[in-house]
Amino acid sequence: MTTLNRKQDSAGKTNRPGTETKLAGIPRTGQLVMLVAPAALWLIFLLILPLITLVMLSFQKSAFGPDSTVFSLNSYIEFFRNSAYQRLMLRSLWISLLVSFFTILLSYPLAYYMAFHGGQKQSLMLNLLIIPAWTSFLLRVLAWRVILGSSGLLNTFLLWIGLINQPITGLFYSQTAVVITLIYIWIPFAALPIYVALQRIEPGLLEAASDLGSRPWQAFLKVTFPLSIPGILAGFLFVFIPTVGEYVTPAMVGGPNGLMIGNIIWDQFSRGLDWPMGATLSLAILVAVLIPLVLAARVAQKSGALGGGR
Amino acid sequence: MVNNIIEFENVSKQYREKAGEIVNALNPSELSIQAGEFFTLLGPSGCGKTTALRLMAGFIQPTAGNIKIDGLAMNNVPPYRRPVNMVFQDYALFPHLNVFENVAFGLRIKRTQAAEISRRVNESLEIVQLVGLNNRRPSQLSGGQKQRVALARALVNQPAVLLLDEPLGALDLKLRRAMQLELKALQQQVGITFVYVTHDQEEALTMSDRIAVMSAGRILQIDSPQNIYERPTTRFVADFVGETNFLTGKIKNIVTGDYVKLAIGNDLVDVRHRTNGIHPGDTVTVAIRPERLSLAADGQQVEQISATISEITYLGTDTRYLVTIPTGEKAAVRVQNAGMNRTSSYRIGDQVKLGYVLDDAQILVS
Ligand SMILES: Nc1ncnc2c1ncn2[C@@H]1O[C@H](COP(=O)(O)OP(=O)(O)OP(=O)(O)O)[C@@H](O)[C@H]1O
Ligand SMILES: [Mg+2]
Repeated sequence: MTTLNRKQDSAGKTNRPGTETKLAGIPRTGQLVMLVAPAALWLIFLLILPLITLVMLSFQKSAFGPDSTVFSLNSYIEFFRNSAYQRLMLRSLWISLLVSFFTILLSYPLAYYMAFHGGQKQSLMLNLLIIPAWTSFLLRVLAWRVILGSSGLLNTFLLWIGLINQPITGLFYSQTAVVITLIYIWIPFAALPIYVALQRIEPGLLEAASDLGSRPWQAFLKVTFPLSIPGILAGFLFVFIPTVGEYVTPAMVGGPNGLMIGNIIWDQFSRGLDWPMGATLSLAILVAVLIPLVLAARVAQKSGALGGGR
Repeated sequence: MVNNIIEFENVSKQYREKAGEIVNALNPSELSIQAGEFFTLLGPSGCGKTTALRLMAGFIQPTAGNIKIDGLAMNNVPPYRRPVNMVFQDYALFPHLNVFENVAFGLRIKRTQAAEISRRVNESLEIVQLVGLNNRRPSQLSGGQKQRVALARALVNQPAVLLLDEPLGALDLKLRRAMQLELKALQQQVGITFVYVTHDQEEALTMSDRIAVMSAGRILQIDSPQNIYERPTTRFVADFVGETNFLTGKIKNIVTGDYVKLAIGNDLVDVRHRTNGIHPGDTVTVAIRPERLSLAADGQQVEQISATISEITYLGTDTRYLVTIPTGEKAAVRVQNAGMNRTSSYRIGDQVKLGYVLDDAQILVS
């Protein structure tokens, strides 16, 4: 993990003009095809084909049997007519926003500490941050059942110190449980990009700020924070995007109020066998996620934080 | 009374390395910088120039001793409360702010009124001759332009002292020469004290009012450029600034305040008495610049040392002779190719007399 340093811009500079040489015996166009082919195949098989399949599926009357070739808008009509889907969709977006916000709020001080006060222990701390991610996702979610359950660690502890005299039951099988668990799971994913952004800040810039009269908190607001925005945006997207489609965590700790759109999609494909509906809902998530993505890119461009580095 | 804007009283700085080793970046040093002067810290890489400058700026604290700025003790005063501003070696411009906002940074922190900020920022950018680029980001500027922004960003705060750490280091030679003159003119125009760090002796000589020559964490000599060049007190200073010949001599007698009689090779010569702590019988080193030596006496009252020519190099404007004196020591002589000397009449192996004027030789402290 010690390779996470400031040399980010060197990567893009390897293909300088003028360095192109003709490989023995292969014509130019052939070379080009060979160069582009792996990326193109990757895109086609992993992105474009699944997407096309999904779109086609969403317009089918049924996934199986004779109806599978009949064009139909039924799934879309159902999506717009049945407010339960929309509510679930909004709830999923809301939960994702909450999770992203709090994950970044908690990750920032962590990343800040590692980047500016980590000293020699930076790589050790990075490893400690990442090690939990090596254990099974399921296991980490289950761990929170042990903590949040009515006879779980938290309740036992609170009862023991006498802060409460009845176990709090609302913690488990609730939206709150989903949010807490997901925050825990995503913290490394948000902390890493923020850490990288903070680490890339030249110490000289903070000295310059101090030299120009800024107290430490002013230097943070005017220099450190603006320069860490790209990391925050990256962290936000890393958390927000996978959270919208989450179904494992809500299924395990969410209870009826904690269900998310991902659970319904899962149902459509497994139990309900209504694949077209599942496909439609999946596409709806895709669109819902694209909106904040585009907005984030806008913000990044406007602040000049991405790209126009130095 | 002279007003000292910066004073070092016995200031030293040690860095503690990881392995517990101690680096003496600055040995206990005395330093007085006068208000309004262009003061240069000159020395080779690693001699502690940046350390001295960072002590003034407040980024580091002295291990011992006191630093005073404008008469006030600066112990534990953070950089943001010191009346100094720094131009960093790599400029340290804020990449997320445009030129105008970079320059306005200090004024915004002080909550200056918008109209005044605008006026002063534009004024500073005019002084450094950088207009019309207000909306550019640092990444869209050339090295010379960045340097000007860094300068304007510091100047706009009207500091008592401007600290400059090799500000021309990243520029090409031509721009460097041009900026040297501009900086000097600028300093005279704004009247702010400049403390300038460089390892380029020519730069130091052309720009400074006074120079402190440093070596290995020690300040060896503080003097005017002319005195640093003509009256170096140590071998290091004589060697670091320009080309110098070192000849070994034995002191015969001393006429205090007037001259010292020395034996160099087979000859007895006089050197102006300026060095303390020398006694008859001592063996000393004498420094003489190659261009202050002449071949054969030409009627002036000069000191003379016999020598043999061992090398002749034609350099266009000058001819450089390498001569050997009877002790085996070598000396370089530079003669301008002008007037009577237009064509060299000497050959290798010729016996000549090396001549110099009493004042042009300097006895170094050992
Ligand atoms: N933070 C530090 N920790 C340990 N040693 C340091 C530190 N900063 C500087 N030094 C050491 O102190 C000595 C003086 O360093 P300084 O940066 O003042 O030199 P300098 O004269 O500015 O050199 P240059 O011309 O190369 O910039 C050097 O030996 C350097 O290695
Ligand atoms: Mg330096």
